[in-house]
Amino acid sequence: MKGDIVIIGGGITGIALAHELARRGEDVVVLEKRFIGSGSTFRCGTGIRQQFGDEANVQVMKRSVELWKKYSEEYGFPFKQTGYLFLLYSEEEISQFKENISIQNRFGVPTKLITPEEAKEIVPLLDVSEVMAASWNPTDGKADPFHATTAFALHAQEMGARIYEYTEVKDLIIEKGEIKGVKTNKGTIKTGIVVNATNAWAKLINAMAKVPIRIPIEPYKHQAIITQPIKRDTINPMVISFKYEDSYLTQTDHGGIIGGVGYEVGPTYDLSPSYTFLREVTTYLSKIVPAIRELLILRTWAGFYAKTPDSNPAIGRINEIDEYYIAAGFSGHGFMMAPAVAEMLSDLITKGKSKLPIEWYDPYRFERGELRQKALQMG
Amino acid sequence: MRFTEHPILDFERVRGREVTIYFEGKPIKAYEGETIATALHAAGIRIFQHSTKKHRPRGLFCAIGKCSSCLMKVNGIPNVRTCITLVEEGMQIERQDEKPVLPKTSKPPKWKEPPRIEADVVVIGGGPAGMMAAINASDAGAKVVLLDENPMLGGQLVKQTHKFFGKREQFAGVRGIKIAEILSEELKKRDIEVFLETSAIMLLQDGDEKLVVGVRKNKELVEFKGKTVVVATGAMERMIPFENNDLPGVYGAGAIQTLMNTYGVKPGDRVLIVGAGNVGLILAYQLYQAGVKVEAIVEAMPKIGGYFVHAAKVRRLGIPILTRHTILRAEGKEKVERAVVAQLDENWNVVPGSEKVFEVDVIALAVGLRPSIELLHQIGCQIKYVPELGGHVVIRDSRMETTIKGIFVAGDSAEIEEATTAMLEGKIAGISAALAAGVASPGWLKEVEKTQRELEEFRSGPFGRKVLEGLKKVVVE
Amino acid sequence: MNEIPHYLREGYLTVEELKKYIGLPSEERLRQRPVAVPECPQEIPCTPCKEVCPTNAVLMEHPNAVPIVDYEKCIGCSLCVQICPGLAFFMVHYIGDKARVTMPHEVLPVPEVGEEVILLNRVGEEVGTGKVVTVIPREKSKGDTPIITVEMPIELAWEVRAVKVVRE
Repeated sequence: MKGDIVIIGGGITGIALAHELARRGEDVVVLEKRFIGSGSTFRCGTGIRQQFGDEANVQVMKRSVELWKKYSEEYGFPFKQTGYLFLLYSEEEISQFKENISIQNRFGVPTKLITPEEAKEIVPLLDVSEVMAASWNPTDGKADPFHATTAFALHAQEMGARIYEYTEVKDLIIEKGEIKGVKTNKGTIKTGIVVNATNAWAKLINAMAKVPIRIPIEPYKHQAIITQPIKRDTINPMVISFKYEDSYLTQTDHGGIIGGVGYEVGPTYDLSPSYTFLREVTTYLSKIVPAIRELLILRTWAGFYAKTPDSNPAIGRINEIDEYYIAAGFSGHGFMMAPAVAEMLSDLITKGKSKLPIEWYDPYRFERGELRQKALQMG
Repeated sequence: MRFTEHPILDFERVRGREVTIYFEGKPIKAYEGETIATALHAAGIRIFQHSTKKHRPRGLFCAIGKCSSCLMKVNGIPNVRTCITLVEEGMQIERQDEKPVLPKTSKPPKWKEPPRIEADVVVIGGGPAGMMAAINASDAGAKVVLLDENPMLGGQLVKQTHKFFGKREQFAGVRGIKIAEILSEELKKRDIEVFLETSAIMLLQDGDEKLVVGVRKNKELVEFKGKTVVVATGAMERMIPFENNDLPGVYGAGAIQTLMNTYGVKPGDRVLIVGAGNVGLILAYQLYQAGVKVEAIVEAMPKIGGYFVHAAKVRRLGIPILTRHTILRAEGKEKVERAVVAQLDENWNVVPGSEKVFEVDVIALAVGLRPSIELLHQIGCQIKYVPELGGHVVIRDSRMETTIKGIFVAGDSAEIEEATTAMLEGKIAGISAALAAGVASPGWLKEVEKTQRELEEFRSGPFGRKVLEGLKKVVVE
Repeated sequence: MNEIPHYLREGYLTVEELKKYIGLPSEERLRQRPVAVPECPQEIPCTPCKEVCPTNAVLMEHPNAVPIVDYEKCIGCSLCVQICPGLAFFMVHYIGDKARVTMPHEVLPVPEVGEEVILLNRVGEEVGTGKVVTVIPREKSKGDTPIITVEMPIELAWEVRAVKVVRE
């Protein structure tokens, strides 16, 4: 068997990339060791935001939101621009957010600072007694990872992409610095181009490829909860509080409240749910929306943040291996960025360059010791 | 409707002080010690909520806190399990007819460190298996704590008015309700701390020990730390597919027993029972004893699945048992008004023209149980699907220890069987848990072996065959 | 489907099945004194009858065996009728042209001595009337089950297994 481009990893990044490449007429194969979305995508917090603190991420996320909108309309999966609401509790936080807002506004993202009363109009159940202001962008949103990933996968397949589930990569065949193929538990695929889109497992594939540079990506366990469903439109935006340990919460389409806090464990490949997290999440979420205390938690689960030292992913080509690309280390932003990442990486693979600021995510920056400004991470 | 006379039970003795609760603003008489669902039922209220999407009426189904059919708004709090929440004077009960709205007045909770109860052995579940585990672990020298989410000890024993089988030393000839009393007394004698109305929501490894996270009365966090844990969380009722199987009045057999035998409330006036296993047969007899008319028992299999003697008991009281019959649908506007049944041919197809209509207001489902393995699953015990044992069950050794060291299982949560075997397994698990905790002397192994032999003997007949086949697939050494 | 015995399809034993699976006491024995007859043809894990019998008249090789009563050893004490969890033991006694059948009675009302009751056969059909001659109330019963003895025409001795008490 062979494929011109082999993408390792069937999460949203790999699937969206396969979709984009297939759309451009490329012959593409996705290898997923379990089922699509099973790594981190189906475990994610569902949020999609443009409120970042640096130009690159703001631009990339603005493009991503355009693509989320386009494809959700075309394919009919739920993506809703219900906004992101950052609750701010100190002058220091406010001044930091003012800076971010000015960057965001510069690129056409309509974020603004609003009063606690205005925040309460958006989410009436908020406790704003200690809130001083809020940063509000109504064009941020959320999507359903199950529907979205499945839709991208189905349409990618319609356009000729091949997705192989339960197909685990065992090794890469590289001769004289050139990729020749990929060995899996089900046989070998001949190919000349490999993309490592395995996020939390990226270091394992990098090791198979003998990537000569240091790309520090480590898996950290982050947990989430979902409550019983309540009436729709109770908590439409993603509500964030850095004061309460990077807590976030929002309501899913089904009506349950999905939420998490910054409590993280790692590096680890363990995903067992923890009690410490449960105690933190119930403590902090009920400070943001006190009435949430009346709800029962239906489920809790964990997924990985594949973290880099500056919380920005590594996206680009590894020049020493012909041709090996990486798009991993999303540090909790993989789901929201995926459509834009698919576009810029496809540009890079097919045209050698991209209009989007892909250099920001240069995988060589760690080796050079040029860390980026830390991307806003939450949950 | 409440009854005052019963050949076996005495409700006047157990009913607490009269209180008033309010359903949709209207006052209803209730008794302290009974659940909200019971009081509503006694007042003739069958519809507790409407489903959020299709607005179909919903009522009680399991009555032991395991399904979500009885969720209502209580004092402004949505999604309260009314089947295990006790009435309190002045309670305001409302139907949930759409996805709930959260109260605007909630204040952030005041957080305090939860009480931490330490013991050698933590037993989850106060039914026959759990109580026997607690008693025997205690006798073997362990400090034991037991928690259960129901308001009383005994598990499903508290509604079993029939006499048990087995040997005399295994409580044969004693009624289930009496066994519950005897075992509760034994717990008291041993100074075993019992937490009722306390749900175990999480089971965790905590260093070499275990942590059971409990929630008491739906609001207070309690931590139980033990060297070992016995999970005896019982089972839940199965549902079968037929048209309108969600109508109020379609009840799990256990729910009817709870209403009738625990709280002395009539489930309805005329009943059709689906399933002629022991549960269905016993239920028919209990309904007759309570003065409720049983129109028929239908059974899809060509023969009666329960003990023949249970069948003979109800047949001589004039209750028909229709083998090779199944229920086709329930009919009724907002609750069950009729049941339509039909005969099955040898290929399980409905025989045309064989439909029979029964004018009933209750359809009792006695179509089997499945083990409640949620906590065991959550902590990561190895699970296997074994139909002979009732579905998904945990791999364990002959001393009831699961694939996670220090976590034991017993009773229906291990496999669907009899209360008698649950008690024997509870004894094995309790002693083994005390041994594993390092507090019991090795001499107790003899008692484990003796109990294993008793269990083997109990299962040696034709009724034990299926379970033995199933156990071959999950018991490892 | 022929291998499924009638009693498991229908839920009751016919007199023929009773003879085949259990065996009936001789007429001579039935006239001597009451004799216990277990209507328990199925192997189930249950032994109280054997354990309670003061004369070891109930024979069981193992706890799952079907109980066999040695009718000659049986003294008609009714303890097995009282204890049996399956309510499957009865006693029969022939006196002249009458038979006295002793049976468990766990439903309300419990009849009084001398009361006339409606006789029910194994499928609950009314087959006549009889007179209650003894009642062992629940609190005096060894097995927490009230036991009644009802006098009836001798031809109903192997039909009647329950009664209905009808009061104004």
